[in-house]
Amino acid sequence: MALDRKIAPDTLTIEKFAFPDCEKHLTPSGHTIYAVTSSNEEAIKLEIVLNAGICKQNKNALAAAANSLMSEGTKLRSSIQIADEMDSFGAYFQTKCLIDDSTITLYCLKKHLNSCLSVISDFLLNPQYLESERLIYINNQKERLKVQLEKTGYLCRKAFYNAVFSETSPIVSFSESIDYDNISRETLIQFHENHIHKQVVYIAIAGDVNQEVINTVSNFLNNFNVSERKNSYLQNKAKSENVVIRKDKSIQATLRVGGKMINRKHNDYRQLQLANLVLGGYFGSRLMKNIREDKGLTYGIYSTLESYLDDACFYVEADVNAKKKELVVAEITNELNMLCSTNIPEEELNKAKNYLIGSILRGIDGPFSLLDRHRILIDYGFEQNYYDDFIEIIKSTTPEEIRLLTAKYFNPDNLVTVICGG
Amino acid sequence: MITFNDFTLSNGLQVIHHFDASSRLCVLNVLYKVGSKNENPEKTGFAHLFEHLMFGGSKHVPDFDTVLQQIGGDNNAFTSNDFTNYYITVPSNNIETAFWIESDRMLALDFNQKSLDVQKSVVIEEFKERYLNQPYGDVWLQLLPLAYKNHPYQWPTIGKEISHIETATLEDVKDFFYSYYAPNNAVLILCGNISLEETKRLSEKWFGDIETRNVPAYNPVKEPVQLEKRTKHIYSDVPVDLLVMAFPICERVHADFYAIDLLTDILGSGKSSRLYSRLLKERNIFSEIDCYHSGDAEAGLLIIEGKLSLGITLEQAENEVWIVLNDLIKTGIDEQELIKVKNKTETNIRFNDIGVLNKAMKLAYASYYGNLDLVNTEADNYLLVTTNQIMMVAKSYLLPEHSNVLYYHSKNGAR
Repeated sequence: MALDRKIAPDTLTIEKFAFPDCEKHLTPSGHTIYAVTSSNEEAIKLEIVLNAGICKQNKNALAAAANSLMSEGTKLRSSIQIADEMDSFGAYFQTKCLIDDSTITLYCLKKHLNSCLSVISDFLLNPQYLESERLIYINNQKERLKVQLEKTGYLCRKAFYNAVFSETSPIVSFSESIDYDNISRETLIQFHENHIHKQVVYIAIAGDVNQEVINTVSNFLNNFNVSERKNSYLQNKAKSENVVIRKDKSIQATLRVGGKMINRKHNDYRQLQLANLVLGGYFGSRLMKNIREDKGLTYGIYSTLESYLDDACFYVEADVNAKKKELVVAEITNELNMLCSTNIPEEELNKAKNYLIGSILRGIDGPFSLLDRHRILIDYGFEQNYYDDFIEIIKSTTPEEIRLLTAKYFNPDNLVTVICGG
Repeated sequence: MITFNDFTLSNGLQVIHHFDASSRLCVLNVLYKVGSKNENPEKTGFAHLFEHLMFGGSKHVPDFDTVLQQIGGDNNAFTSNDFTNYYITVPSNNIETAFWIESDRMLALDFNQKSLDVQKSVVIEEFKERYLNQPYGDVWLQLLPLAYKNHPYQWPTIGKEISHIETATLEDVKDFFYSYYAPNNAVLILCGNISLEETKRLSEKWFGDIETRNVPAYNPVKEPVQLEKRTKHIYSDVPVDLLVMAFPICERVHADFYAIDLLTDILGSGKSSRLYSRLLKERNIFSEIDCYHSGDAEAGLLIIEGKLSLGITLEQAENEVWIVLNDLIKTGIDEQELIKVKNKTETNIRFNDIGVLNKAMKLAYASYYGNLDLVNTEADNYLLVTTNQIMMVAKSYLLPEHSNVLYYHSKNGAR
């Protein structure tokens, strides 16, 4: 019998799936080690969470510099020795400085974990902050900044955060060249002493984890106290004027339309994630269909909910044909108004629901991405059933609820538009 | 260790299967053996534009993405110089839908003018976003024609220029499809929670009746051996001077490849690498420096690129790079330095073997290179490299007369 290709194969909707738990190990030092275990040939990813994010700095660029320069020399090891030793173990590590915290992420094989942790312990406890290293760092950061300042994406992002958050918020701490000059060795040592030295929030680990690995990590933590996070920087700000930044030579404009938003802790957040998806959160979104797939005005347009521990924002962003930037802004406003005023068709909503649930399933496939999902629960203090409830909440959301939510949170009258370029 | 089975349908489609019980997902990956190197030099960027059109609907499936989103799946694709790769990830109990839509667009695309017009605009915006509206975005557009005189690697996958994309016609699209999008020019990979029996049954059911097509023979053009250094100066509205040096290297399956790959790590991977530790940290010549290879199937390039520190001239910087290269060529490396980059490679390979999508792509590439066992033997191939081989490849590939150098002058760089 010939195959009738017009008939789609039978499909199953994802009804429910068990969100895999992570193990919690309490150490003698009082820390919790969160572990996601899978048997995958020795590979280990480990994250050390430090209470040393941008929200802790009292000077621009300081937190990032202190975190980064920590591994550039200790009393025992020079900068090159640290790099050479870690490379010899075949390990990759990076320090990341975010708004709420900083992390040291280590990728290594199990057999080298202990050796890697002793190097990390050394630079966490005994960094030298040598003057020579500081100078290399600030000069190179200043050169990088020059390049950033030529990019419409960077300029637009900076202007957007400045328009949305108050000037004392850590979210707007964009560094100027002069800020780097103001970072002295003393301020680095002080920042380290106050926020990094002997303080770890928790460790999260994924991969080929067994009891021996837990013991190794637990021993490492013996030299550190438990650091409690209290991140409070939420401030209100009146709606700003729209911003237009000229950049004559650029043939594309970067634009952002958005505003302050509820963060992940709010009850509406999970449903708002669904509404955001419908608007611009995936390839089948209204904005993508309209601006890219119908009009061909951009390579990609997305809307994003960006949550921090104590604040949040929402924005639509795209790099667009500079000659058509006004048209794109008008179309974004149209799409927002439509979602705020008209119930979306059931079929479109179901597609978005299925896609979102599928993306959760993809997000928990494999130990490393599962660990990322768990870190959200840990950081926001959510219970283990958060994702199970998520599925229920998504499934039961009605078109009317989407309309009411978008009217409440995505009303274009409350949003600011930033255009850079063209 | 990635265990796999492979079989070939009567129409020539190679199918590779890897079972992973730990995953609730299944990946269906199709690699077509056509990339930008197969393009007409007057119509470059076409393979990539075509990749966009593959999402514009097929004969029986008008909306590819919607079908997939409805079942919680996701998909994407990319085009390289050598091939075009499409991948779909779905919850494993919905894998047949992936077979349905992927086989339908191999059978026949829905060729329509609207889709072509829109995707031409989208790709032109992509061209601008990635190559023109970024500082240094045009590096590849400048470097490749300098380094390649005959070989089609002389243009990037996005194409030589926007006008080539603008002039593509629906006729070109049809020709390209029936020339290259054929079961006998593709490899299908199923990776995840699906049995071999089910893979065989569904492959036969959905792909089995697609006809074999006449795929034009690809006759690789050999690039003549370079006899003298080539240079190009670019004066541009960028804030910092940039130096780019490119050296021709061997093919991906050549015996020298593993030593060259490790050589790039010794030179430029990580903070203990030679270029970083000497020229960025010790001598402050560069504010950023990197060394890598282009990863092409045919003879590619080894590239050293760095942004200069304030007050350093491009000439000075190039000389400093040569001091590091000549030192390696003359005195070689010690065993410990080699062990270091081998250990890093081992870590990389282990991490790359995790996840159904990673494994599917690894199998797809190995198939393209003509040796599926590569997915498991590459680690050993790296371990076999000796310090002497590293010195030999440095000596034979890093020659001044083989260098292609871009001097990217900023507005206010040192003169």
